[in-house]
Formats: sequence, C-alpha cells, structure tokens
Amino acid sequence: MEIDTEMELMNIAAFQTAYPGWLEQARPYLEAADWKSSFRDFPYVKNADSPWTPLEKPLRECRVAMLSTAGLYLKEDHAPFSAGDIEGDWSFRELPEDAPSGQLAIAHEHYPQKHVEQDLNCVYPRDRMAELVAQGVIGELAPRNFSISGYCTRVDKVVEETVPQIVERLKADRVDALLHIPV
Amino acid sequence: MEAAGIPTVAVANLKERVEWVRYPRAVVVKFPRGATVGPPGDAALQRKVLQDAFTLLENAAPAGGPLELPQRWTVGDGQSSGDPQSPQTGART
Repeated sequence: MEIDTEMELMNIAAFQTAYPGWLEQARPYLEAADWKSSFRDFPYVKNADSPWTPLEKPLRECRVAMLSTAGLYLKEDHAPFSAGDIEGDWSFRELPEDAPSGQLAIAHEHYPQKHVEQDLNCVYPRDRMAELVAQGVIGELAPRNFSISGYCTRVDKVVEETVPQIVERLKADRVDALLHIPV
Repeated sequence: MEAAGIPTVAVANLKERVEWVRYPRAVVVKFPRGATVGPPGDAALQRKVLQDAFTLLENAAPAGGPLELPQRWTVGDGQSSGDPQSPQTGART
C-alpha cells in the first residue's frame, strides 16, 4: 500500500499549505457561525484512491468495533469535546462496549440532536450491534468503541495523530473489522 | 485504518463527502443528519442498514464505489437544521 501512503502524504501536505490562509480569511465567518461562508474555500481533502484490506474471515467469526463522529463521551470519566472551538477538536474518547447508555453524552454543535435524544442507536447503534451478535451475523463486539468529533477543521491532526492512536487500540483489542458512522 | 490492516465499512448520509473521502466500502443512506443509521425507534430499519453495510463488508470488491440504499426517511425540518457545510474530516479512515 505504498502508493496510497504516498498519496495520503501529498494530500496532507497540500492541506497544510492551504490551511493557514483558509483559517485567516474564514475566522470572522467561523466566529459568526456563518458556516456557508466559512467553508466555501475550505481545502477539503479529496482522495483519488483508498487503501484496501480484505476481510480475512467470515463476519460471523469477526470481532467488530465502532467509530462514531457524533461527539460521544462518558459523562463521569471524560471531558467533553471542545465543541465550540472554531477549529473543532481532534481528540478521541474510548467508549467501553458495556457503558450504560445513561453515561453517554454528546458534545457536538454541528448536527441536529433531536433524533439521538430519542434513540442513541441513530448514530451509535449499540443495541442493533448486540442484536446482530445474538443473531450470529457478527462474531462478537469489541471491548471498546471510539468516538471523535465530526467537527474538526484540522484534517492533518486527525490523520497524523488521532487515527494512529485509535488504530493502536483496535490492534490491541484484536479487532477484525470496523464500522464507521459519520454524522 | 485500512492501510494498517483493519477492514472498514462506513454508513454515511452525505454522498458528496463519501466520494471525496473514498471510503473503501460505504453505504449511503437517505436519512437526515443526526440519524445516520435510521429513524429513532425503528429497530428493524436500523438493523437492515447495518446488515446491508456488513454484507458489503463481506462481499465488496476493491474500488467498488459506495452502495446507495433505497430507504428514505425525512422528518419536517430534519434536513434543514444543522450546518451542512461543517467539514466532516476529509481523512480516510
């Protein structure tokens, strides 16, 4: 996957070159929460290709983890994401698979939360995943899932800092596959 | 994550972003923001979405492009609230 890695580095380098200029001109719009104007010239990373890893065994034998961008965190154990920061927050939170739903909270100011307030499964389908395990569709749930904030302008930080730390933990947990749910 | 050896599948509702990110495998749903997996309380539809995603995970060929699911659900102002311009990170997972 060397070509993909090179391409990713090129994409991130181009992003880092463009980002300071974007932030400077977008800052007043960001501070005024004028999102349309803020992101009109955002240097979105557009990938021409992706790395690919085949699923090595049947899903019914796989341990599966979830990665959500819904801004979920544990009320008692975590600081909330810096949801109001104009550049967002590229940290992540570990969500134990068996964390009680009442322990989960959301720090994210950029998507409507009326659905998830009724049903957490709208963005974090833990009950549905448990049902799929019971039905034998999935082998088992990973011991922890991961949450990031979908509002983060620092794409480079996500790629270079956040994702490698999550990967390290997925490997430690011997996760076979990841379900990613952006909001 | 794929480059690190972990196969992934995404469930997403912003088709343009899915195409920019080039998720290795993704299902695109026609649900409003904040309800990516499906309507609140509709366990059957939520489960169907996940089953379709996992079927794709097991069977998709490389560079197959996203799979658009046909189910549609909108509620009143569900599509207009929030800010569609917020940057889902352009990072590949």
